[in-house]
Amino acid sequence: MPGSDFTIDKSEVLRYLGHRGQEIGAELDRLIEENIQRCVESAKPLYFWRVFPLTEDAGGQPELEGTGVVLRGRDIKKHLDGAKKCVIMAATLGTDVEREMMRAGRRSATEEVILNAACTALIESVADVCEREAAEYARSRGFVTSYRYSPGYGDFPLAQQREVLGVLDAETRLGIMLTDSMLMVPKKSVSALLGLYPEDSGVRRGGTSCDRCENRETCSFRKEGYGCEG
Amino acid sequence: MRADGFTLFDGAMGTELQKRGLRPGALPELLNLTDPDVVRAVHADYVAAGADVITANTFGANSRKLGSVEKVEEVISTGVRLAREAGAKRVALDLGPTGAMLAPLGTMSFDEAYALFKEQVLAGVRAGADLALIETMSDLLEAKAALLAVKENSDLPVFVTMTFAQDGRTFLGTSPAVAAVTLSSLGADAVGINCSLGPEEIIPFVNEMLAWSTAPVIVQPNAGLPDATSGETVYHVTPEAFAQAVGRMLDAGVSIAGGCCGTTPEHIRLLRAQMDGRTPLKRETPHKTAFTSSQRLVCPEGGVAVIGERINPTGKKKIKEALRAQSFDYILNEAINQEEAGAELLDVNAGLPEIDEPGTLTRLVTALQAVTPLPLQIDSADPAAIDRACRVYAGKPIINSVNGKEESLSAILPLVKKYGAAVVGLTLDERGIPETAEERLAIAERIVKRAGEYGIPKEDVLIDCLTMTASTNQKLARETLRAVHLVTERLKVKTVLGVSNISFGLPNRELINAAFLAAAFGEGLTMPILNPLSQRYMDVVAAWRVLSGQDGNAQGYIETYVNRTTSYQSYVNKDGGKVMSTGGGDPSGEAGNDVDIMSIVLSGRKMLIEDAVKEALKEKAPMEVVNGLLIPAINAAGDRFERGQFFLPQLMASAETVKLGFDVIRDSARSGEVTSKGKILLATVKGDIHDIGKNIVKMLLQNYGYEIVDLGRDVPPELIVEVTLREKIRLVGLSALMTTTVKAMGETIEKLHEAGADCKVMVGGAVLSPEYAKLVGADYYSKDAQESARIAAEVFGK
Repeated sequence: MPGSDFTIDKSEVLRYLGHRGQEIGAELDRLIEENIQRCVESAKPLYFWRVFPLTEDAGGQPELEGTGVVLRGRDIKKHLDGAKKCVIMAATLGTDVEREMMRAGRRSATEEVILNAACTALIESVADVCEREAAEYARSRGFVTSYRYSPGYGDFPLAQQREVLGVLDAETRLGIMLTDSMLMVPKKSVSALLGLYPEDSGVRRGGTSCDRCENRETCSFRKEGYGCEG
Repeated sequence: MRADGFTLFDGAMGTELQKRGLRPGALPELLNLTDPDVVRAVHADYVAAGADVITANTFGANSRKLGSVEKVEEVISTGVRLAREAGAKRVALDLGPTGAMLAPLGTMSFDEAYALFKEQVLAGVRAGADLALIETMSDLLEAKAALLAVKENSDLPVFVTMTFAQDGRTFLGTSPAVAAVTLSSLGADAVGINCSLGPEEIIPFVNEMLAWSTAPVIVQPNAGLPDATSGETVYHVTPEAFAQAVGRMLDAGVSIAGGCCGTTPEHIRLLRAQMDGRTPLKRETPHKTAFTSSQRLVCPEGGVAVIGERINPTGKKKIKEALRAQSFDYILNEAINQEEAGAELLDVNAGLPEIDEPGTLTRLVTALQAVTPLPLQIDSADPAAIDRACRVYAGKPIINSVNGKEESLSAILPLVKKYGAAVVGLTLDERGIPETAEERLAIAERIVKRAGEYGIPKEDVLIDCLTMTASTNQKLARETLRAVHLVTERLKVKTVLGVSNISFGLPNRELINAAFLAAAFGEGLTMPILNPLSQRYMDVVAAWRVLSGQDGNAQGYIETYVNRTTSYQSYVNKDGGKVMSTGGGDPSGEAGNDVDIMSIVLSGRKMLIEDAVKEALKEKAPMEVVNGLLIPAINAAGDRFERGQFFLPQLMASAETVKLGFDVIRDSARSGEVTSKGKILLATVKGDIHDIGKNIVKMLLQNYGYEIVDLGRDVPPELIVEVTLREKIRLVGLSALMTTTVKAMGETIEKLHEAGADCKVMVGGAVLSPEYAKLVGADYYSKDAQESARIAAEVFGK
């Protein structure tokens, strides 16, 4: 996973910072550029994905075949309706950038906020790369994928984060751990599911999960510069 | 183990179990109970392959993963028994990571991790394990917790291995050298590398370990990197290639080996053949002085290293305040400033008579490790404080200090040994500080000898010959220098020396200190303890590094000094602190006093505000500057934000500019005239580590003249209650990001009420709403930072 694949789109950083066309002075612009650079230098992006065939449990909920993991809730069932397989993926920026954010916070809260936004943009970009790789694999086998869906969306329980990361062995492979309150550490980590649907099933793919999320306009995570998976 | 030979461990358990049907993500340890025959069969294959040690299937058998301590006992006793039944000569209790990240990055405390490991160790001892294997560790502190749990609760030999990524670091940034120094100093019976990558890839990491470990080195590589592009995990290194690569490591000095993920009984059988054809290398134990943090190794061999002295409350009002309020921002900034000025280690002292020093020092050490990679020197007169702070320190610290008194030697040296630390030995004893260099040498000799009796090697003892004030007894300056010389030459140990005492009572103290520092370097001083923000001292250090040859070809010196002039008055203010530059100069060329404060704040030009406020103070009273200039400016920035003319970073840059203005007033001679509008406590609640919203609120509130006590993130309710009562806080602000952590908010508020705290509570965070806020018992819901300022105004009646 060469780091050069991952770039930070400055307009995305500005979007996470709540920018709506205000004029940005030279000083602030320099600060934004510096923190984008700092993020790129200290992040160690890693990702991993695996494909699982889908079956149904006795209650008709989707189940990752061979793992005993049943995905709970109406929303994930609806999301995976018609899917034959499921990609489980996870991505992270690593711990160095976490330390960098804590350090930035001591120096200046403005820098912390900007660095945080840059990191959010980067982890989204890493997750996008991972998603594209999985989608290409799916396409080569005659499937299309939908958008990323994560524990905590709709009524898909956040508590299933543990199983999702568990089937990837994300702790050993990526260094992603969970707190007792189901927060991922490093904070700049993403976990998600992608449904694999037969090409002729009419599922349209594309866009990020935020783009497709019905809460995108009111989402306070986004207002604060987070993706909703942290 | 065979004292004269190699020791062969077994290979992978997890991947062997998966071949036999273990589901991905399932806990392999539970198979001890459900499918004992399968587990026993894997062990038996490795016994047949010639393994000396069989690793019981107990890797993740902790009560966090298994759910109860009874289950831990059951899984471990069965696991050890199955290995024994398979014919194992020796059985290792296997201890893997807890699965949770420790503070400061995560929320698990050192004590919680230790308690989990302790349960496993006690179960392993009862089950009759022959040794303990701590493995696949990414976090040096977690490895330390496990190691201490084994050593403090059993007599089992203990081996520790960590796992490294392609960049030669663990996920948490620890290098093989740091792991080797820290873990072998802590008394591991072997240290090494497991999992990670294939054997070829880890050879450089193994060589690094061999160069630094005082304990035997163990390797258990994977059979290469897993290839999972198709969704199936496959390991590619053949048994032949594996055995040959590990064979080369045996030639380099490794004496214990086995396999990790993807290795099979065949890999182990061929490795047996490699071992049987060789005799272990007699490895020379390194005798190097070295200190570590989880991310850095400092080795002063053949050179000098600077210890920053500024984190010490003696004579420093702001540090005293920070320690009392447990609000460490100012101290953390001091750490970063010293690091950036060139300090290589930091002395940390939290000694104030009125506070709980062990608790405070422990929290401070944890907080410092989040913001600086520098190794720490733990400085206290209280053995209990040293004990607790060393425990939570991820690395090999220096303990400051022991002295020649019997009471001190017998209290401190056992801690130095237990925590694998280095120690500063002061040349004083029951009779005080002797005058002559020879007498100080005698005390130093006694300290080194007593340390040796505790098993502390000479390279871990640093002698402080003690600087005496020149103005009271001039000839003692030379005696200290002579003592440094004698200790260096005769005892051949490293020395430390605090230099600033020398100039007490004299004008232009820095000049005297710098000359004394240079002279001490000439006598062999290794590690000065000084204020690295003093340019003059750092100039002496840089110059000495040229003269002593540490700075090869004077490259570092030339890079730094080719365009620099040294005019000391402009660098240092009267307190000896560096005048902090907050920006890259003034590109506009405008002098501060020519631009009004309003426009400076609205444009967020931090480098102009200091002069502008100083200018304003010439004509106005401090409170007039605050109420007439600074607060209207921040209000204007707030208005622009509300109208959408500013976006968040602009508001924050304005807020930071105002804060610097406040700092100027607080540091001015007339600071007494400024009254605080009130004290507000802020914290991100227990279990939550998302604190950016809280930090924004803090920034803004500071700018309305409130004093903020910031307890940080993942703050236990008890600490919030304690500080609220002690500091007589009237407004507490709590933040939480997730629905899962909002309940800790309710708990905190309940505890505040129970304790009878006379305060209002405001809450904020992404998932909160006015209804939710009411539900958890908050008095106010703060939807954003601006709202928190309005709430504060209401509470404090302004």
